[in-house]
Amino acid sequence: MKSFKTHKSPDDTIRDMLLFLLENKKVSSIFALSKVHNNNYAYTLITDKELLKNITPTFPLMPANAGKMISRLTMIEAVKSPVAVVLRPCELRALFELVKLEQAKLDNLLFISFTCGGVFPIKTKKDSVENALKNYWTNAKTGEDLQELRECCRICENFVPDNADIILQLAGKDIDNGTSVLMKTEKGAGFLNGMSEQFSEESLESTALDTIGEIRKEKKQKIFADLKTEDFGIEGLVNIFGRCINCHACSKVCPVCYCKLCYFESADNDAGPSIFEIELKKRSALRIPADTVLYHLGRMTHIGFTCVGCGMCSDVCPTNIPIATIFTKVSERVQKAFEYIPGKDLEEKVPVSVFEMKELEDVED
Amino acid sequence: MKGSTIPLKDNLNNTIKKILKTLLEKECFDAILVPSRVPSGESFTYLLINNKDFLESCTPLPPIMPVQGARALQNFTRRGKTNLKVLCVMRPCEIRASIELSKLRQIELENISFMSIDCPGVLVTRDYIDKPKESDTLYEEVIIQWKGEHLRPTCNACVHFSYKDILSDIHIGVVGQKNHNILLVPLSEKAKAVLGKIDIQCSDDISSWQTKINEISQKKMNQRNTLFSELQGKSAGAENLDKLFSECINCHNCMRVCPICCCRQCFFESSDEVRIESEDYFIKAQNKGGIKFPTDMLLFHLGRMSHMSLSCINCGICEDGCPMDVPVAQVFSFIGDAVQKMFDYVPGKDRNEPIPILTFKEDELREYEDSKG
Repeated sequence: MKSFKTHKSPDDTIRDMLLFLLENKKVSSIFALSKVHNNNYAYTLITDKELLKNITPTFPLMPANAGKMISRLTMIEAVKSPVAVVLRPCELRALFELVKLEQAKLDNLLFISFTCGGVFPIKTKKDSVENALKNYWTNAKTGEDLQELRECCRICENFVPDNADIILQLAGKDIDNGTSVLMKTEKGAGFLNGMSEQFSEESLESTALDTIGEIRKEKKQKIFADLKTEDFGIEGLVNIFGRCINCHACSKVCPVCYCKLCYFESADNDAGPSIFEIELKKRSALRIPADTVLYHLGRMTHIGFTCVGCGMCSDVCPTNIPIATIFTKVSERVQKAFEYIPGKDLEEKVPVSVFEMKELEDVED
Repeated sequence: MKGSTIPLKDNLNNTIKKILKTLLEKECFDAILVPSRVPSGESFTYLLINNKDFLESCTPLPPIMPVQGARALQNFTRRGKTNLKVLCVMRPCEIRASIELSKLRQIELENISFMSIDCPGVLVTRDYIDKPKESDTLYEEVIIQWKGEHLRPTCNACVHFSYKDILSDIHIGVVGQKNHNILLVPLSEKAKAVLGKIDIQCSDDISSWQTKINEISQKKMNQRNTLFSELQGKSAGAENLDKLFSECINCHNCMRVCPICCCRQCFFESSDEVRIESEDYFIKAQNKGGIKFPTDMLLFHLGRMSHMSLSCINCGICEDGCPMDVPVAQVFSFIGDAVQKMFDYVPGKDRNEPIPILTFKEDELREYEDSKG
């Protein structure tokens, strides 16, 4: 792959690239995480190059899944002039799923991403994240587990952004020694053509990445085993989802749960008082609001194929249910059953959206 | 007003539980809607119960409010009245929210009766779930001492924690009694008949309880004034508001747990807001050099505020539902208080008084008309 190396930090390297793209009118705007006022971080759509000084694309926080945000931007129509989008691997994968689900369009988007060390839970105080950065990057280099990160990030094996046009090697690299930038696609190389960097050929450092993958896989196996979902049964489900308050926050921040009006919030799901009366007669006690377990199982069947394991859902749950960990575990098995990797290949349809005569015969019998 | 003193049986919840059992047994009600512990033990949910054996798991005054009671009642009666005579055991703010929802035609109150309890406030849900055992001990103290360090901030500033301005039928007084005995006070004719049916004679003097309630009210009013004067400075002007809400990630969870915010689909999640042409985003970005995504964070809060602040009963559940600890309930109760005073409206106080925005008066708010020429 065509590549270049800088002696700057990842954020400064990205800033230089974006400045080059904006100044040379190769893109009309930038979509990236920025430090905004009040010491906070948010995704931003930037057209003024002066504001590039505020971007912090590699700052380990995910206030929203960027895939969902790009879906907002491109839901009706593709952007008309090129936009450079800096996002994390799971966000890019979520966006690809949303394109398949006709919720977003990729035309004119240039994707810049990086091998990802994970993010802190959104609730982490901003200055604590800032203070933990040194430690964060040390662990990102070796892949050593960092307990403070989102559980989903600690067990994520898909931290290489295969579909990005431009990839920065961060996880698996010592970023103190400069930043290396790889042009994964010709499109990426085309956009950066003309930059005054020393271009050479380089490929991803697979040994370091494999090591990180191994560490995370091991951690995943342990965390998944500890969940004991296999032994759940209805009792286990009631135990884990029984404290759910039906706020549906998990679905609202989920990038792939894209329905504007969820069935569980629709009039179809409103039981009249007579239904309650009949059920009460049968059971002597009814939980109200009902169906917390059904809601999660319903959501699971809808998004199990497309769940990218970003972890937004766990971060916002007011009752601390480890939703993301449960969903990634179940989704992994669903995705394996259909040999489907969400966000990998645009041409590959979401399994529920296709019909095959011969399918899942093993389950049939 | 008179009441009936009931001796405390090991603790408050068990004492009330016994009364509830009797009420079901004597068929005063067909069913009781009451908070109960979930099977895994670390939270509570509303249960609709018609068999006294199932009342065993109930906790009439739980330490947290994971779901606002009015939401539960809305769930049950949004489609129309129930044929069952139901007693809802709720906190005062949950009953007030239920009254507001009935005005908004989300709850049908026919056949519904309420039992309210003097409320010392609730703990923060997330904190409780993390440490249920320690929190239970802590809450035992809260019930006895009425101390508020660990409570929802709006609970400390709540002046509607007892029987005043609450449309309850049976009220349970827990303060100002000897040996922590409790006091059953019928607040409606219906309640007197019901209590008569279970042989509870309401002839006891309630003045010591009332005195204590007045004393606590005064203390809470002071705390409310302190909180509001702090917020006055923090919330004036767009810049300050932006700062207060700066941590908001636009998840809309404050709205989703709010009992008053009853729209099935919020404008801010509708096609009108979500399906925007990309060009419109770029125009906005170009105007300012850049915009935050998701957009309209502050507009959402201001929109919600203008929609529900007249009916806001300060329950504080929005702040509990917020994953980012935005002081949303404090801001909303402060603004709600000002708006409600302007319209001389107390939400949840009177079943027949319409919500001011639902009525038209020719002569209204004249002072604002002319203020700026």
